[in-house]
Amino acid sequence: MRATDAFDLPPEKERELQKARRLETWTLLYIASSATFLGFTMGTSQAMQTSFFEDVLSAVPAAAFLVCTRLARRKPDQDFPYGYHGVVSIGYLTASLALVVMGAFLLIEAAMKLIANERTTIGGMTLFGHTVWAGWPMLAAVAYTAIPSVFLGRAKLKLAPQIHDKILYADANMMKADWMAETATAIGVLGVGFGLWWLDPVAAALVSADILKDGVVNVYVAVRDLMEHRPMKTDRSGPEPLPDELHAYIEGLDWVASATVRLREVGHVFFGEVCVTPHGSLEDLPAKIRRAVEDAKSINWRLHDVTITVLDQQPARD
Amino acid sequence: MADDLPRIAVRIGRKRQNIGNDSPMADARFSKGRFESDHGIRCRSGPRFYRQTEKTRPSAHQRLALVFLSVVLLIGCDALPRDSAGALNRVRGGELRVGVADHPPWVRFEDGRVAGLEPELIEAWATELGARVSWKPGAEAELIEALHHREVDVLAAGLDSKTPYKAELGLTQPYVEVEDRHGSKKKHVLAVTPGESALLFSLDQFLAARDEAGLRRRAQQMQQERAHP
Repeated sequence: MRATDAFDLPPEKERELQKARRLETWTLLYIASSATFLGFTMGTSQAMQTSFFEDVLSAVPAAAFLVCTRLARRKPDQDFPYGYHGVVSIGYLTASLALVVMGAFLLIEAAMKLIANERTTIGGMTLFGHTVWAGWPMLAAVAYTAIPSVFLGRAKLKLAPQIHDKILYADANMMKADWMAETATAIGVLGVGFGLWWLDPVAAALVSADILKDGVVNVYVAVRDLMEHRPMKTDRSGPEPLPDELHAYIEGLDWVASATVRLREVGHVFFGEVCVTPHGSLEDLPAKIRRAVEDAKSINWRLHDVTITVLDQQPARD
Repeated sequence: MADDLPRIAVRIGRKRQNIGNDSPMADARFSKGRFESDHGIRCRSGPRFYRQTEKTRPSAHQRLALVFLSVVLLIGCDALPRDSAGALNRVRGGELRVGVADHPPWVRFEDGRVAGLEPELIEAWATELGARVSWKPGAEAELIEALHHREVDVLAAGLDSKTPYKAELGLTQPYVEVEDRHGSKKKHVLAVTPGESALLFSLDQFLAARDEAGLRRRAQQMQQERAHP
C-alpha cells in the first residue's frame, strides 16, 4: 500500500511541542515526589488515600502524552499507511478509562466506609524527635500536591491549543482543577482533627466523584474522537474552522463550479476528501488538481492529506 | 498594587523582545505609566495590564478556600486533634478501659493478674492521665468488636503494624521493633477506639517519650525466657 507523506511539525509548533514535552516530564517528576509525600503521610485517612490515588492517576495522561507524541512521529509505512497519529486517540481513551474505573472504585469505597460507620483516627507522628499530630504533615503534603499543580496546569493549558493535543488539554484542565480536590482532602483531614470523623469519607467521596467526572468527560471526548466526529477546536469551544477554509479555497479556484469537503481528524492532523464539479475547459485538469492539492495542504499545517475527486455533478443528498 | 504595575509591564515588554525583533513591542520603553514603542504604539498601563495580572490572581473560590484554611489552621494549632466521642476527657481522672488479649510475652495472665510489657506501658500512661485502669480480658477478635462498639478505650494484644485490622483500627506509632521467634522484624503497636484522635495522640506522645532501646532489651529478654523457661 502507498503510505501517506511523512509528517513534520512546522518549526514554531515543534518548539511548542518540545516545551510541552518538557512540562510533562516535569509533571511526572513532580507527581512522583508528591505521591511519595502523600503515601508517606496518609495513614488510614480515606480522603488522603483517595488523594494519593488521584495523584498517581494524574500521571497517566502525562505519560500517555509523552508516549503518544513520540509514537505519532513515526513515519507512515507499508503496515500503517495512514501513519501513527491514531495512537494518540487510543492512548487518550485508555487513560480516560483508567480514571473512570478508579473513580468508581474509590467512590464505592468511601460510601462503604461512611455507611459502615468506620471512623478514621489520626494520632501522632514522630518527626526529627518531635511528636506532632499526624494531620499536620498530611496537610503539608496536600498543599504540596495542590499548589504547584495549578501553575503546571495553567502552563500546559496555554500550550495545548497551540499544538492541538487533546490529551495535553485534558491533562492541563484536570491539573488546574486539582486544588479543589485537595481542598476537599484538607477539609477531610481537619474534620478528623475536630472529631468530625464523617468528614473524612465525605471528602474522599468528593475527590473520587471528581476523578469519575474527569474520566467520564474524557471517555466521551475520546470515543467521539475515534468515531471521527466533525473536527472540533482543541478547547471544545466550537467547530474547527479549517473545513470551511478549505471549502472556500477550493470554490475560489477558477476551474471549480462547486465543491464539498469532508475532513476527519486523526491525532493532531486532518485527512480529507474534496468532491469537485469543474466548469469550463477540462484541459490540463490532472495538473490543476495536483496544484490544488499542493496549495490546499499549505493552508494549514494540520491539513496533512487531501484527495480531490472530480464529478460531473455533486452527489444528491437526501 | 499600583506600584507593582510598572514592573509587571516592563517584564512583559522584555518577554516580547525575546520573541523576535520584528514585533512592534520589541523595543518598547516604559515611562511614567505609559507604554510606548518606536512604532508609535501607545497604551495606558492601567486597565490593560490590570487585566493581565488579574488572571494570575486567585479567583473568588480560591480566595475563599484560602481564608477558610488559614482560619481553621489558626484555631486548630492548639486544639487539634479532638476526639469524636470525647474519650480522652472522660478518661482523665476517670476510668481507662483496657482490652487485653493473651499474647505472651506482650500480654500474659499470671495467677489471674495481667502482666507483660504492654500492660506495664498502659499503666504508666494511665498514671500520667490520672486514670485508674480496668482490665477487660478477652480474645483478640472479640476485643476488636468491643473497640468498635466503644466498650473499651485501648487494646493491648501484642499487635504489630501489619495486623490485618490495620485499616479499621486507630493504631499507635510502633513503640518497639523486635524480631519474633521466626526471625522476622515486627513493629509493635497498641490500638484505641476508632475516631478518638486525641486519645491516640496522647498515647502516641507517651510512647514516643519511652526509651526504645530499653523496651527492646526487655522484650528480647522476655522472649528468651519464654523460649527457654
